[in-house]
Amino acid sequence: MDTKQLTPKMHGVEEKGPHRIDNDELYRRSTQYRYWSFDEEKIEDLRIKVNKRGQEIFNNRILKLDDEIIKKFLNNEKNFKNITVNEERLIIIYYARKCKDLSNFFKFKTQVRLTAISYLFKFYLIHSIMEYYPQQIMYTCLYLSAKSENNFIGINNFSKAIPKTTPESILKFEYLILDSMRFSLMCHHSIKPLYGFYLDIQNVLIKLDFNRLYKDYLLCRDLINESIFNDIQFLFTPPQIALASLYIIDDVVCMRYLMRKFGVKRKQMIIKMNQLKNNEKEDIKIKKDIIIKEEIKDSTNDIDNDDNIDDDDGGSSNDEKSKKEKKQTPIERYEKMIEIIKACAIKMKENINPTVEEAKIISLKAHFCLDPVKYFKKISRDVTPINVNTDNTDNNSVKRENTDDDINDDIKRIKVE
Amino acid sequence: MVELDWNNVPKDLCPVCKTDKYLSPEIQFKINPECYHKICDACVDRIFALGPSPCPYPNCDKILRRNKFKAQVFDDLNVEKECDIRRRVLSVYNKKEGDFQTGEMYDKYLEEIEDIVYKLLNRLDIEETEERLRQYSIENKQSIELNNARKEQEYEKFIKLQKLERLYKSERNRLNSEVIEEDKKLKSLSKIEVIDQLQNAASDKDPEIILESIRNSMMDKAKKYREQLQKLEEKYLRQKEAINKNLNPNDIKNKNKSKIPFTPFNGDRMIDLPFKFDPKNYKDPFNSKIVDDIQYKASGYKLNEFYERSLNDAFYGLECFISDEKMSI
Repeated sequence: MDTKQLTPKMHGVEEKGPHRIDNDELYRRSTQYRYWSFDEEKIEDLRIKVNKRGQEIFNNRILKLDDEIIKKFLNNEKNFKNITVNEERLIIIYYARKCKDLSNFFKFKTQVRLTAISYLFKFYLIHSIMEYYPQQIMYTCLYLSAKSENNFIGINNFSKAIPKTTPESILKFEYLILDSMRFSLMCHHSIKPLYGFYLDIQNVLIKLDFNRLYKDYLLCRDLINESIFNDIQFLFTPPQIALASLYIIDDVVCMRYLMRKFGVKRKQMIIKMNQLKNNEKEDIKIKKDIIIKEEIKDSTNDIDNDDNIDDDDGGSSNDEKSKKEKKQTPIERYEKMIEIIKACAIKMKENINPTVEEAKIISLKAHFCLDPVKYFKKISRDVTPINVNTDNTDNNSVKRENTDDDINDDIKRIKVE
Repeated sequence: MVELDWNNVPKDLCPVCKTDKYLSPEIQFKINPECYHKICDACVDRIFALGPSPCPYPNCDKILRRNKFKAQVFDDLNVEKECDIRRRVLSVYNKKEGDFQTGEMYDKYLEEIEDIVYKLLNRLDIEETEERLRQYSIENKQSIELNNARKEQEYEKFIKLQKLERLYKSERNRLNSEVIEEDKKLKSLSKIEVIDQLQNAASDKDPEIILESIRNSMMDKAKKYREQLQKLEEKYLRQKEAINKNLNPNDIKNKNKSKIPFTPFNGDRMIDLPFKFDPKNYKDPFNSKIVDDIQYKASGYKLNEFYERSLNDAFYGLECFISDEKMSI
């Protein structure tokens, strides 16, 4: 399916001169676009599908058990609720955050960390936590991303630093993860584009105060580092995410830059705004604010900027060429861009940070799904009824079972040693 | 006298006249492709002076002719034999790769040649193979002649090319050596000249101006030689190209080859970048420290490349609207 698009059109090309590939087309050929870009519904579908498959696997596991245990299980089943899609997502995010801590412990570069987390999310779009527990997968993802991002660490050193792991326990998932990701190891993160925009803004908005830009840039970086825990990496392209972060931090700079870049003239913009005023009153309120903000900024920061806008620099003249091809006016392109960035910004602000308690509850369920027998043996020894969600007595068993999850404690222990 | 073993003649001995290389170092051995028996030059002259005669080796009744004798090229007679057979077969089977429509057909043709050579060499079905060879040469008489003519032409051109190259190289060497000589002369001359001029005109001319004028004249001469060299090279290339063009005007395959070189993107990247690359004016508090750090420089790290990559990444998929484009799935 994908390869068809890639075949060269040799005969046509021969006459018209070499075929030129622009950046967007190039991105459409990347695995990130081909395999790992979805719209929102598709992601939701994938998650539901994965969850269903996880349930099936769990049910099959139960059926294979002895009769006695099944009876016991059936008794307790009323208390046990299935793991929901949302719970799955929460536990993955929980471990993604753990992954961040672990990566910081190893002093890996930002790229490695982001890639590892990205791998983890991608893996759980294919598999359920009822199949593979995220903790081990997370270790392997980190190890793998250190390799693929050119920051290699030996497996022995790696597993030595993490308690209760052996080189084998980490390596055994490696192929599985690679296979699930369809061997698409390249991750385009939005950190690089952000830096690119940071450079380009210096060139385009000459009058902008540098300190302001630098401060914005640092804030944007934090925002992007945080946003890896969202789904936006699947929903938007890296430059869009970078711009969205800039939009959240400093919308004036972002919009001004884009206007220049797309060659939108301010007068046109105002005319357009006026048109909109007549048509829809609700929309205007939002956009008006922006205009006001811009005008304030104009009067304060760059008064004689209007001249600059009229004689555009090289960047926008290039855009004008491609504009002709696409037959889109600059305003249309600009507005489309802003629309996307806004949508991305909204998604970006969605901050999910599951607490340890939430994670413990879910992880207990997951452990039960993965290994019912072990779980039942514990139950029968304790002779306490399982009531996962509420009971205090049960929390003890939860803790006992989950001590190995708490990497933070372990890391602290290592540091002390 | 020890009886000679005819089946195992010593390397440096003529079995007919028993002359040894040790005693007469100028001795030369010749063989005849009929039987590949080794006889010395003098014996060949003596025995075959009056026309065809039988081979002097016992049990070899082949009638040999003097004009078929030739010097032995390879030590190993088997190799010698194979070369002769090959030459004979190839003079008949003389098509070129360009004459075939597909590579497979050409491969088959080559296979056939090898087959024949092998059979002739190892004396398998000799009659049949000879018959086949004869048949082929009769059937393809015209094309064989044509190909032979072509081969000759090519050979001629090859010789021409070689001549041209030799000429060019000698000319170039001559010029180069002249340049070097001139340089040497100039240096010594200029020294004297400088001293002279400085002596004569010390009072009314600025010595620096004099020095500069001399330097200029030296430079001019050097420039002339360089220009000459360049012209020579251009001329050579032009001639070479002219000969080459004549060489294969009817080569079918070259014409069909696509002129577009391979590109990894199945097309070329945009020439106009979506940004203005201006590395001098970028400010970054962190990177400006790195620029002067030897550790980064040593490994070939270049900040400009990093800038360029970041900027490229910034526009890598800027206007891919995933939600719109992937909706249909």
